Amino acid sequence: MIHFNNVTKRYPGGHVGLDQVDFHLGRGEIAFLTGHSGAGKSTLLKLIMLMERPSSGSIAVGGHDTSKLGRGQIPYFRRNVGVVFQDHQLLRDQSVFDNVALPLIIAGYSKQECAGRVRAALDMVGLLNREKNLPVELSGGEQQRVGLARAVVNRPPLILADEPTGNLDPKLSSEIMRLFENFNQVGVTVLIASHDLALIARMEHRVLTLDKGQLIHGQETV
Amino acid sequence: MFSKKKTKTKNPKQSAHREESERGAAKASKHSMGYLKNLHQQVATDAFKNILAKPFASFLNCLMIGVAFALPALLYLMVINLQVLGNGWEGQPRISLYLETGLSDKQIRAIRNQARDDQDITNFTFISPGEGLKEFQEKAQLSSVFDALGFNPLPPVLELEPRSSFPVDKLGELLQRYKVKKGVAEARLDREWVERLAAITGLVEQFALLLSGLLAVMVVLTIGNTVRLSVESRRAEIQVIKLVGGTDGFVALPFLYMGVWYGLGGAFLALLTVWLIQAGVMSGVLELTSLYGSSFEVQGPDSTLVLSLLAAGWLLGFAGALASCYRHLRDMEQKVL
Repeated sequence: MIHFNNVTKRYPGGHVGLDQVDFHLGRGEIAFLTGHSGAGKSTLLKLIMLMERPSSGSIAVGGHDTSKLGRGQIPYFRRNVGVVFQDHQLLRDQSVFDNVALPLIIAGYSKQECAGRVRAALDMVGLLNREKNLPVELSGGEQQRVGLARAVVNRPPLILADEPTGNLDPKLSSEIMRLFENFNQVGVTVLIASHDLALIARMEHRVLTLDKGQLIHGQETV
Repeated sequence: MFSKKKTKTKNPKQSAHREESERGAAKASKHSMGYLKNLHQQVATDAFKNILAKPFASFLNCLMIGVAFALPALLYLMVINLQVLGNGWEGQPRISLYLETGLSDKQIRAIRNQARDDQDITNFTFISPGEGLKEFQEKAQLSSVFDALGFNPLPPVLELEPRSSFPVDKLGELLQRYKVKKGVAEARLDREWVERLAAITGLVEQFALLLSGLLAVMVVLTIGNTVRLSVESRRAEIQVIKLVGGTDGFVALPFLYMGVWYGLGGAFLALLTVWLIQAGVMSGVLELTSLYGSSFEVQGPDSTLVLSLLAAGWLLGFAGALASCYRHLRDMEQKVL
């Protein structure tokens, strides 16, 4: 699903975000991406989302060479990747339902189709009864679950998460992680950036460790 | 895109999921007309509500745009009114010969004969002082003034009508020919002031066009700036939409509608301003024209002006928003992750 082939990302000014990173994440796999702040976790995710382009090397996602995707194709590419953010990034002035429906509206679904899928996604994260609430009326854990519902509502084959449990206590964190595992069970490829080493150790999945831009552990598929 | 690559799946749930997402991808690739119509309706309504949500600030914005529109609109009205005024006197130009008072009938007849024999003159009318007085009293209802004078101050007048094929630029020569004749006190081309009026009108028109151009730039900048502030304030939202696969068009649509609404709002306020000013000016003009015995009526905003203003509002609003979006959405590839 994700192929990094000798990828280096150098920023203007000389800072090296990623240094010759090589790895392959198979279809239907689940893996953690870990490392200290500034080790390159965000850079790696940004490269997959085509928010940034590599300085050298190549990245293939879903069997497609991302360097061949032009600016106009990026939005369509992104519709196949669900993203979960650390601070959930919900739209504050829109209801839970509308937040989750956003990717569907963008992709051109009718309202009827939308409603069914949105409720299915909310059901998966256990928030079916909160669809009319505004995000501020929800707890931190609930907001993160809404973010999760939004990421999966479009049924993307790949989900990326950036510190999805960064602001949550351990109990809520393992709840969120269990949800990711559930999605993985139905064949979704999942890559989670996190520095919660204790949690990662408990989950017993593949771990990719970055240090100063280099992949020091986890290159090989388990 | 992702689903094209076939892989063996052991889990039946997995393959079901994949088929689902394949259908989803096909669906997403083309938008139906119904979807686009719904989307535009929704976005247009939301943009309108957003403007109404901040009534005072929005009103000030519209007012600024409205004033910019009202200035050229008022100049345009001035031009069409001057044109109407000028048109009343257009057609065959006439030469009025004011004869010296106290000429004998014989002398007058001599001048009339000269005019009759002149090939350049098709028609002529003689107005004696008595006839002139009568006509003047009828038209201007100023009989009391003449009664007070106690005598008729009007000279005998000979009105000459040049043949219709007579070249306009030679009218001056023709005028001069009669001006120097014995017994003629004064010769006037009655189109002179009409021509002057036309020249002034042309000047005002040019000025209005130039001003319109400058004010159009101002409107584009005003709307562009308003839209830019709105884009900035919704930066987080835009970033999220872009990351979940919103195209630039999808992101820009609400802002384009916002620009269009502001432009149209400004155009409406401009029309309102013009109507109010016209109503205010009207009574004064009526008083003035009645003094001159004229039936001149002030021309209000016509359909051309109304449509032009609305079209300009729409177009400039769209242009301002587009320019602003184009510059700002490009560098919105942000720091969400």
